[in-house]
Amino acid sequence: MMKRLSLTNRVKLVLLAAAIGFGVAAPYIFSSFIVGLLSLALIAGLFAMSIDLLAGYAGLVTLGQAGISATASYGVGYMANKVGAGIPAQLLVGIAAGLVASAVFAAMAMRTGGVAFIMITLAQGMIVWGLSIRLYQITGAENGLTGIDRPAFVSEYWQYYYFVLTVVLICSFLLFIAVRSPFGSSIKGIRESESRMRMLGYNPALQKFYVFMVSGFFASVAGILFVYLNEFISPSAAYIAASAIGVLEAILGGIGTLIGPMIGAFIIVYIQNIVSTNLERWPTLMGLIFIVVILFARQGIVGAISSGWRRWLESRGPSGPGTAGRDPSDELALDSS
Amino acid sequence: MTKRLMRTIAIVAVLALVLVACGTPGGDETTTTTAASGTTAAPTTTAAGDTTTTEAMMECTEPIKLGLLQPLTGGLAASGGDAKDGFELYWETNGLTAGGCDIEFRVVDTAGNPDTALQLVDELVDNYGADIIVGELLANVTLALADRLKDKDVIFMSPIGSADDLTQREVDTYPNFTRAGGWTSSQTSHVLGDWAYKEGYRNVATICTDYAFGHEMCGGFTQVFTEAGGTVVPAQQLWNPLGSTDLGTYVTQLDGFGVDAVFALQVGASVSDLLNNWTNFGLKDSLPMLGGEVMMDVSNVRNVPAEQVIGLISSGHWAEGLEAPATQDFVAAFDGAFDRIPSYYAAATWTAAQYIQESIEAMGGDISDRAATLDVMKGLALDTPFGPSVLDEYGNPIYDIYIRQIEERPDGRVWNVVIDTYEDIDQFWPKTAEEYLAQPVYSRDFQGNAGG
Repeated sequence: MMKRLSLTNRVKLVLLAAAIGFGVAAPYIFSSFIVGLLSLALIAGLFAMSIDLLAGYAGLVTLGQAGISATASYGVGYMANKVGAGIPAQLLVGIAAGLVASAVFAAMAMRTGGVAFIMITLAQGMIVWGLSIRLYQITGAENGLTGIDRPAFVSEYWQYYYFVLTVVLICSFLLFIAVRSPFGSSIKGIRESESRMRMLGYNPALQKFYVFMVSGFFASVAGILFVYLNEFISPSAAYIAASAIGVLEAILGGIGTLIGPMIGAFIIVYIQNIVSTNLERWPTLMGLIFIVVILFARQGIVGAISSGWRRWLESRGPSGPGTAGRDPSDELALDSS
Repeated sequence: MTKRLMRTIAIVAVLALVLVACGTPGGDETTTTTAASGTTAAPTTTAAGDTTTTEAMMECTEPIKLGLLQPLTGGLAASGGDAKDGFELYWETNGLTAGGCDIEFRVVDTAGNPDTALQLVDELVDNYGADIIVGELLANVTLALADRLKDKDVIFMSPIGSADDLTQREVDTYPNFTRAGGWTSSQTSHVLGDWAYKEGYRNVATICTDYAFGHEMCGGFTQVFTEAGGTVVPAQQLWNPLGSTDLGTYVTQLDGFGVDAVFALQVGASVSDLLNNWTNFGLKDSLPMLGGEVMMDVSNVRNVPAEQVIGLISSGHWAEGLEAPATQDFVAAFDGAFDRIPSYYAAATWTAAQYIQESIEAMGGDISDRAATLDVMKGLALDTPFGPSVLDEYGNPIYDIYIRQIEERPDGRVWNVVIDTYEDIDQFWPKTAEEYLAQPVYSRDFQGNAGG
């Protein structure tokens, strides 16, 4: 641990510290509306990261992730609105519902990959959406469920913001560990070559099941944070558009980078909620941004920055401190390549 | 190096904790904190918190602020755009002042999504400082907004979103809500049930969109029609999913039922699809179709070939062909400004604006007492584009409800003209409020069908 940190990692640590410092100070700087949006962006970011775990690391693009997070949200909403249970029961049922949905989805999708996986997850998400519209007694259909109160100790918007910030930081840390663990390596192996992994003694289907469950867990956490943020849940949260936005956020920020989806989520939330009040054609702006990213930065924003950074390091030559170029500890650059 | 970094991070973290301990964020905002803040034990040291905004408003140093939420993008953009245009046109025509105060407003796009609407309404209330919120188009978004706003210091008006219970069984839940300029879904279809029976129809089938609005529209018709003596066989009530665009199979079923007439309520793209199939299967002249209000609204029928809709009958609180000065002045102004006949969406937000201006006027420019403002609003009797309008004690309008028929105008466009009028219809007609509120809200399972 006494090893000198590379320049890249030092920059990353400073940026991380700055981001956390900004995150902690935000409620003192901004209005309640902006703080609410920051909470939303953090939750959307966690959701997009859960997609990134599947899409970026396991190579399994999902279009049904909102089905899982919405199931967790509905679990909370049902216990709060229809049963009138306390917070522990709400959380328990919420996370259990999300995990059961993940398990069922994973069992159905674990033997597929590529386009077949996309289609199956798409159908799964739409099933949840369809059920949320049909099961009036549980979901309240289009009207949704209201009367979902936050726990008392985070009832104020800024308290809830800190709560979200803490939970998202912990989840990000767990995800960070997960993708660097042997488990993370094994799922990256499956992305690269399933047959080779089978030769090495892995069961790719089982590995996919596990990664789906892990991803589903974090999506459920995002769903639960979301339902307490809005204190409301309706079928639109399970609709394909919600899943697709998550995937787009991941792509915009940079697939397979974990931090990228978080950045993508902040950009999308900003456009949807702030730009939209001044610019009636905000969806056009969003479309243009996507086109520009796809045309000029296929690795997403983080991918583009990290490859630009690498080029700059190389142009500095090997004399600089922290030995530039293909630094093995330069995970950011490696993952997005 | 690592040590120094860790130290930096630690310092940042400690500083942050100190900040947290020092005060309540957002303490300088007057509108956000609710009654619950007393119990959260957060140390509040920030000064200048509760400035006397109420006194400032009485002298009108600050304008009165309105927020309009409508879907301006997505599948409902056309209807939401009409609502926006109607609202803006009112203020352009009548001036942005009332009771000696300036008025300003902001229009925001919800894209028809309840989650987006909830985030944007926070911005309108907490940041912009809106006194009155007007919104939204969809009943489910309206319900979500009503729930979010019920504890806030604003007045919430819903001239379009028509979920029955907001001014019925749940009225006490939403003390700051009023439907001035709006309607309840079943209010207009009750009348059509009565009219259909008197017209001689005895067996009617229904086809309604399978969501709360469709259930309420269909239930209103079914209950009054069957209680008058007509028959609606439950198996002949068809429910198609929201957004269906191939209703051909439903139309053949309806044709096979052998009924006297069909009550239909569709929204969005399903309207033109149903009308198109209706004509193609040759039913236009053989099986009368009675439409729910929104289905035959000019916003829908102006996109359909005229021969498919001319002669169709519906009921509504809005009839753009009503021969009344307030209606025709509005139609002419809207047509002049936007080159189209105004839909009920436009008339609704115009009327809501009219209610806003009149009640600010009556309050002498000070609407900081929300409850008193709502009471004043309930006391107003206005001549609106819908016709004469007063509010009942639940905050829902009592209107003349029109039986409308689609007719071609000399300029080739179609519109709804009035062929019969039911005067002073409230949301419970023909029952009393007590009788009506004793039954559940209309749903797929409860259509109030007297025959079973």
